[in-house]
Amino acid sequence: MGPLVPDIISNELNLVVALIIGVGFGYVLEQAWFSSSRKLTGLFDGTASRLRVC
Amino acid sequence: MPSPQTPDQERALVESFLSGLKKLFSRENNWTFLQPLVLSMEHCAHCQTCADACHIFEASGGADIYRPTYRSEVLRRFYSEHVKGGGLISAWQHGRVELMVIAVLLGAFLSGVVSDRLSVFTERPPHVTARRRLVAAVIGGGLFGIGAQFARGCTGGAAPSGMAVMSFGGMLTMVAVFGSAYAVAYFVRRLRSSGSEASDGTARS
Repeated sequence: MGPLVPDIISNELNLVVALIIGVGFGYVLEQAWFSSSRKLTGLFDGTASRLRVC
Repeated sequence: MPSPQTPDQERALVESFLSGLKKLFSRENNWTFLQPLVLSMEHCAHCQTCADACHIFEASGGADIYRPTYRSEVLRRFYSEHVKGGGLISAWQHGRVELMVIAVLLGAFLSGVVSDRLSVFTERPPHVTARRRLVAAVIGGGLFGIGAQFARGCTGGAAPSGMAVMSFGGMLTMVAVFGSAYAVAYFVRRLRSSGSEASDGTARS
């Protein structure tokens, strides 16, 4: 069991995993219009019907 | 402990300290507490929860020299420099350069390029000036920071990270955050926008 680093995932692989997770996270959030504050707040008051994930 | 008299003695003292430190981080010599020790060396987020629980720090009236993270930070620097080895990779691994945050920006930029919506503008409702929008954003960000200090942590730590380790408190936080946002959003809607959809109500400047 954990900690995953460095027991299961090596220190070097850890950086690669961080990069992949980071890029994926940023990409998905931007695709879901996380970059638009108005779309985000619209989610809560019902004015944005097109908020989507991917 | 006697102070070293010659440079050779000093070197020997430093060497013996470092070899003891390396021993502390080897499984053979510290099989009991290696895991929590490595966890606190590698993953301390400086949340300061330990400072609240430390009676020495409290009794000192909050003197920084007795702050638990202040003292462990000294050891952490020795650890990252001498046990793990220095260099750029070490800097990334020990949070001095946060690789994942850079990667998130890179991913978001990539997404903007792919969806062809890359531009520089201040997003705002048509009846609000760009300047007013920016001032409001700064005030909102400040309130968020004050709230995070009151709560001794932010929603990002409590809700998603808490839920990832199956913390019931994390789930309650998530329900409270989204629940109150849904409950309150309708009443502040007029402040925000007069349009019905962001795509046709948003002014760009």
